[in-house]
Amino acid sequence: MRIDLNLPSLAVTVVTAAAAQGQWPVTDWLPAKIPFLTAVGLYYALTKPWPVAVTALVWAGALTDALGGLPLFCTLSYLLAVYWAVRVMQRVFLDATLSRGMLLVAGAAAGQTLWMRLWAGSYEPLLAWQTLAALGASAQAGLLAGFVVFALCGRMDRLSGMIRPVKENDGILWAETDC
Amino acid sequence: MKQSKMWVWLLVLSLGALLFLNGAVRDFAREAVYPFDNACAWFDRTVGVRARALRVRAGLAARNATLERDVARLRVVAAEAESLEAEVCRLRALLDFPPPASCRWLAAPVLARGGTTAVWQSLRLGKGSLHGVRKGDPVLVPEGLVGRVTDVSRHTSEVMLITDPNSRVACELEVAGEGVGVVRGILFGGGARPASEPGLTLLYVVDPLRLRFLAREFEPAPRTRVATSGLGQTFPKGITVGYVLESRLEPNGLAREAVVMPAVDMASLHEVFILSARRAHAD
Repeated sequence: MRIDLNLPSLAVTVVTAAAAQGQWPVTDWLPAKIPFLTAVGLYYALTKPWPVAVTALVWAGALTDALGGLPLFCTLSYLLAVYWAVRVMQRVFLDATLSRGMLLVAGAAAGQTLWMRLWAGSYEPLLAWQTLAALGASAQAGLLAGFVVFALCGRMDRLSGMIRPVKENDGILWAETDC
Repeated sequence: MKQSKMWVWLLVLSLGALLFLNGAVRDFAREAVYPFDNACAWFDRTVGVRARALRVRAGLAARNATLERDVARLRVVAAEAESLEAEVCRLRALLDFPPPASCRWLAAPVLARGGTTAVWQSLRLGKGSLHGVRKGDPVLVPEGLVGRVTDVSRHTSEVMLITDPNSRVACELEVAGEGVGVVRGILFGGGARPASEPGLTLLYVVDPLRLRFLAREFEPAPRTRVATSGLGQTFPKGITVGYVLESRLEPNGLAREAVVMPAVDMASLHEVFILSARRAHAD
């Protein structure tokens, strides 16, 4: 019987990302948490078949909410919406390269900040300086998280043989070449 | 095919747990990252402290001389404090003031700040229900009040800081002078900056606290000490909360509002004390 390495890999990655995200301090030069969990969820969304990807998103969203003091379905619902958008975009141009992953996580992180502020009943108007600064900081943090997660997870997946380093060709995506 | 089925089952189970075991999922999440958090705190305590000590080694000799002078001065202060303590004890006995014997101190390391989202002003501490921590327990440091415990798992507890917009603390001003009486108010955590302060401001800067519903006729002097009044039943009386910066009439003109700077620097906390009530069954 073949063991599916995705399960231990997912568990370790998600828990490590949650711990790293919680430990990362909010500083003056980067006034936002680094969204490692969102990045992990989106990495799985781009590279794995749908049951694995959705499970990863559910766990990432639940951990973000549980450890961030938010209602349990706040981040989860947002990540599932992003997943749907990713699947649509994947048919057109999106693949799991490092640069596109970074941009995707940056955009998703900014949207997530806005979404969380709406859930938390933020007092600031949407077009206030503070809100725009928060979105900018979240996008920067997302770039960093995307770089770390897509680089590390991609390497780990290739080393463990879960993804063959096949370039997209004839419309075949990495998600479909998952073994 | 079999593996795909397994993942679908896992997904269904995960969603089921989220739907029906809300509180347990939160506890499980905190317990899952607890070893990592604890390892980071341990690393900071052992390796981080030594690394920082090595970095400042060059200035240690000069600092040592300064500290020796300080120790000599503090010995004098301590002697004075001892005599004052004796006087306080005598006066308390006269007033039949009950000592806080029903409480105990519990030192706890700070594991993380702001959770994973930094939406709320919160801390995660490395002590939980296993150590006797309960929801609502006050959290302090020698400088003053930090906040109160809002959630507890076996090994960890979440603390809502007094700087959180949702925090409310019953407070009073330490006012010297005759005929003033006790001036009490409710301390609100920092929140949105007022619209009268436009412009770009950095995020997560702690806004000053607001002490509201003070008597309108009394204008407190800057640096007046603000302490807990004990009327809210959550915090014991007399814990320092902060110092008044300025005061003004509230917009409705019925009461006065003071801007208060917290006594504790929340960003530099490494260890805190939880004031835990003694319970017969827990002890």
